[in-house]
Parts: sequence; structure tokens; C-alpha cells
Amino acid sequence: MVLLVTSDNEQFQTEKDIVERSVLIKNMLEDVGESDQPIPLPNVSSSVLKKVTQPSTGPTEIDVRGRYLSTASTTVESPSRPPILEQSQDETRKRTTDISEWDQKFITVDQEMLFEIILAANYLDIKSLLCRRWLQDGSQHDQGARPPEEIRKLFNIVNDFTPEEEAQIKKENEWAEDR
Amino acid sequence: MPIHLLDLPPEILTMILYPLDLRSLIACIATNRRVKSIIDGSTLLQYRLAAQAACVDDVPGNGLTSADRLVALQRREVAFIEGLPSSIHTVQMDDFPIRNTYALSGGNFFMTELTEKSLRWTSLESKGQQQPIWERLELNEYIIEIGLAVPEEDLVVVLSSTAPLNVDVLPSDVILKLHLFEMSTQSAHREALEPAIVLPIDAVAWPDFEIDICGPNVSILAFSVDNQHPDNRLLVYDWKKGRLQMLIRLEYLNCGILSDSEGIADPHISLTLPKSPDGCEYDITRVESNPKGSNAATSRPFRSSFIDSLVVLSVLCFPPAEATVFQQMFLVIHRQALLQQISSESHTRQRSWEEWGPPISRWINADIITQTEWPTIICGQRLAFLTPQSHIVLLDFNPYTRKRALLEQAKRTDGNAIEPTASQFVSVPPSELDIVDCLALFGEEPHSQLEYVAKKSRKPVAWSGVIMDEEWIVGINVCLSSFVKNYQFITPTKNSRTPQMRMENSGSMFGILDELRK
Repeated sequence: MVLLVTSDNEQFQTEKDIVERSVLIKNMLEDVGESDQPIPLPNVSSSVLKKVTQPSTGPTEIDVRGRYLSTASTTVESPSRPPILEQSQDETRKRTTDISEWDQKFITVDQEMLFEIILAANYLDIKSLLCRRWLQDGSQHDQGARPPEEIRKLFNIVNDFTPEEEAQIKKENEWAEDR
Repeated sequence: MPIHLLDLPPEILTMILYPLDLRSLIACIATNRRVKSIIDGSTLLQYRLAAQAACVDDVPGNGLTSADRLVALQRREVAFIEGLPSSIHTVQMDDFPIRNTYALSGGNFFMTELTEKSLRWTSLESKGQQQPIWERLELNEYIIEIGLAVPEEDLVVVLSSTAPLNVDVLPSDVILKLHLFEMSTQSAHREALEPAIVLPIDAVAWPDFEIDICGPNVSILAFSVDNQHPDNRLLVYDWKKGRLQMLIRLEYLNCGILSDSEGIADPHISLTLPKSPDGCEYDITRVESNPKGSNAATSRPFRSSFIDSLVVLSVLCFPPAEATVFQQMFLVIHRQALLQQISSESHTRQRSWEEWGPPISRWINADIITQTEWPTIICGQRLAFLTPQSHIVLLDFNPYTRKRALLEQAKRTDGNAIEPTASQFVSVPPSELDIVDCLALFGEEPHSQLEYVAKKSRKPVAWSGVIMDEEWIVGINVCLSSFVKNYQFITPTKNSRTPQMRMENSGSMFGILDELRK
């Protein structure tokens, strides 16, 4: 077992083979050798560490991953709903430019956690978490993409292009538009 | 303070953007300056965009950076789309007699020798101006047929027999064997549990064969002696496990394997061609799809997407009135869309042309002469063939290429820009390749809707056939009048005005001149 200390000073006893998925910690352990000294992780909060140290094959982690994926996949697919709200296939397939209230709440809460996890995974150097489709589930080839306005809305991005620039970008990429 | 997407460092944003599909990435470009500059400035993302636009899959590994990959891909695309091959060279055949068995796979040109006991091939990669280096594989048995999946599985399948099959009276104890070779080592394939499989087929009754490969599946179609009342056999093996998965009687004259998933089930759906008027008969003379599976054993940076590839049927139609005149056509179908027809939930065992065909296929008038059975004419989204007037025709079904061509055309009509003259190819309006007399052939308009861009060589070529793979278009010239040979030259590239296009290897166009003349 390895003792980890997070930025908010919580201590975690974690299995060695799990923490060693982090290249950073693995290197630290190799440098320090066998020791009971806690390893400080000043860039990782306890809530994030909980997520990233879950066993990669365990149901919890799949659950976490699934939720973020489906949230984020709204950037390219029709708005996703939690499974319990899923009424019929037709309804979920329906494309709408409005983001449902549920989606919006879910995203504002979870996007942040998603970004924190990505940052933590990057800091800890956890390969299995980094090589992941964060924003999109494997989408079908011919599925239309969300227009830029929707992506801006989803991720709270400011449009800083001039109308001329926008027109130019549109023209440059006309070849990739729906046939 | 909450983290905002754009607060993330560029390398992480790049990583997040990487898995997005083409249209989503392009939509992201249009959201914001920072996102645009990250996508524009990342060779990884530029390569990702280019790869999706070219319908190729990345092949990881082999030590190439995304910048290398991007350059190689751009070269390849320019070579094909602009009709500016990176190199053209002509190779005279060496002084060995050959049979009319040609094949091309992963940049290797194969043929069997006249003695029928050895297989020869040369890598088209060998530096442009040199004589080709021929490799040779000798067997103790007679080579009947070969099947190739070199870039996919590093595999060469050889069907052999213990006696020559082209004799009048065959001994009854002929044994037929399927040999599984590994191209890179030229020995038994290491993934095959049994490198040689004895076929449970009697060569006296079934003396003629055709092989197809898709992933772990190898199909052998054995033609019966009596082709008036065919009693053919189809055998499907899992070549890795050495297991016979299927042996069925078949009255069909052709067969192709389209899926590389394991476990083959009985055929359970028929898709019909357009209703032909009374007395008009179809004959499907060839089925071909390429790549031969979704696996990648190649050392190339990328390869044609398996999912997005095409299937081509070569269809002969004999109209009732003049039974001696026939029409030759290609029916090109999107592979994945075709496979979805089979897996879709509907339980109907037969689906009419109107139900399945029009949106996913295209009929093409291909009045080509088929003296020799040319093997590969299709790869990924592209198809090459020769017209009776000896023009090479290149078709590209890639939807992005088509859209770009349309936009360029519109620009040309607006302004005064003219088609680049350096190209050896000129655009062909698709109507030129449409089936002329649909009513006589089908009794109706087939409404096939799959779109493509067509190009045709400016000048006729001195070739009698064209075969292609991922990167090469090979023209073959056969002159069967004599076995006295004459080899003297390897022509330098004719395209010296565009030296920047004359790159080695990738996106090349290669001419092999196989001349056996007096």
C-alpha cells in the first residue's frame, strides 16, 4: 500500500499496482525506494484522486467514464439523456438546437470535474486515462456535427471572430459540409 | 475558480480534440480564435483531418512523426486526385516465361511461372530507375491459384495440387492443399496453426478455383467440371485456426468475402439486382473488395479505411434480342452499407433492388475487354480500369474529394481559371460513364446514387490492362504471339516538369511493361 496526500490534505491508502499506473508516482516510488513516507500530490484534489485511482476495469470507473463520455458526446450528437429518461430511440435521435435543462446542468457540474480529471491525469501521467475519447463517443461516420454555435454554448466559448473571418472560415471548409 | 475548456494547456486541448471526427473538428475551428490556432498549428490534428478527408486509417508505430505522415498522405492524394503521379517507370519482364496470373498487393507485383511450381514477385518500392529484384518461392507442387492479403495480414495463400490440373485426364489421387505463407519471412505464416491445409475436395470433379481473403477468413470457390449445370462448392476457412467453417453447395459462379469478423454464418439474405426484362440475363463475372480486412500489417503510415471501402461487381448482361452482344458493367457498392443490409433487423430473406440498392451503389458502364482476368482494380474508395480506346479511367468515390471537385468546378465557371495542364488526366463528367440503355437492360431506371469523381488519361496508353492497390497503378502489356523477348529499357519519368511530385514510394504510379514479342 502507498500513502498519497492530496492538495486538500486528505490521505489515501492505495494499492501499489493502481498508483503505479501513474508514471509520475511510479518514478517517485522508484527514486524513494521502500518507504512509509506519504507522497504529496499538491496538484490533485481528493475528489479528483478518487476518480483517477479507481481500478480501470472496475464498474465504478466505467460508470464515471461512461457519464463523461455521454455528456461530452453532446458536442457531436443529439443531446444525450440519462438512461432512465430515455423514452424511445426516436426521441433521442431527434436533433434539436436547444440543449435540454438536464443537459445543461449536468454539463456545468461535470465539465469542470472532467477537465480536472484530464489535468490530473496529465500531471500524474496516467496513460490509460490520457488516451481516451473525452469529448466524443465513437460516432457514426455520416452523423452530422454540431454547428459551432452549439459547441460554443456547450462549453461557454466566446466567439471572437469578425463576421468576415467567420465567412472566410466557412468558405474554406465548405468541402466538408454535409452533402 | 472553475476551469474553462480554453484554460487547458494547448497539448491537452490537442489531446481532447484528437479523437473528434472530421466534421466536428471543422466545427470546432469555427468556434473561437484560440481553438482555431491550436488546430491550425498542430500537425497531429492537421494529419488527423487530412486522414479522415482521405478516408484512410492511421497505422501507429513505425517511428514516423505526424508531420512525416501528413506529408506522405498529401503526396499520395495529390498523385491520385490531380493525376500527377510521383513517378512513372516501365519495367521489362525478366527472361522467364509466365502464365497469365497477376496480382498486386501492398506494393508487390506477383505472378506464377509457366512451370507452375513457383511464384515470383517484385517489390515496386525498389528504387525507381533500377532493375526490379525478383523474389521466388518454389513449391514441390503445382500452383493452382493464389490469394493475397499482404498489407493486411502479411499473408500469401497458395492453392496447390500434386498434379497439373490442365491435363485431359487427371489422376484420381490428386491432393489439393492450401499453403499459408508469411510475406515478410517467406516461410510458413506464424499466425497459422496449420501452415498447410489439405482440402476435402476432389480435383477431378472440381478442377478450377478462386480464392478470396478477408481478415481471418479465406474462401475457396471450387468450380465443377460442368458449367452448364454448375454444382460448385464454397469452402470457408479460418486460416489462423486452420478450421473449415463452412462447406456448401453453390450454384453461384462467384463469391467474395466482405467481412473480416470471425464466425461465418450461412447465407441468409438475397439482394436482387434491378428486374431485367424477360430473357435478359445477368452474369456476375467478378466480385472484388479491397482492403482484405481491417487489420494492418503494413509498415506504411496509413492505409485505406476498411469500413469506408467499396465492393465492385463486374456484371455482364445479355439482352434478349441480340444474345451475342452483351453489356459489361460495374456495380460499385459501399461495403459497410452493404454489410448493414445483412445485419439489419429485418427478417426478410429477399430484398428487392429498390429496397437496398439505389442509395448505396452505382452502376457504371464499363465496356472493357476481358481477355485476361485482371485481379485487383479497386482499393479503398478508388477504382481503375481501361476503356476499349485504351484510356485509363480513375474513379474516386470519396465524398470529400467529390465535394472539392464540385466547388472547384463552380469556381472555374465563375472565373477564368482553367484545368491544370500538367495533369495527364482530364475530368470526365459522370454521365459519360452512365449506363446508356437502362430500359433495355433493366426495364427501368436503376437510380443508383453513389457519387464519384472520374478522370481519364489524356492519351491512350499502350497497356492491355490496369491493376491497382493502395499506392500503385500498374499497367500491364501482354503480347502473347511469341515467347521471344526483348527487354532493353527502363524509361525515366516522363513527368520531369513537376520534379516536386517525383517522390519515392508514396503515391507513386508505376508502369510495368510485360512484353513478350517477336
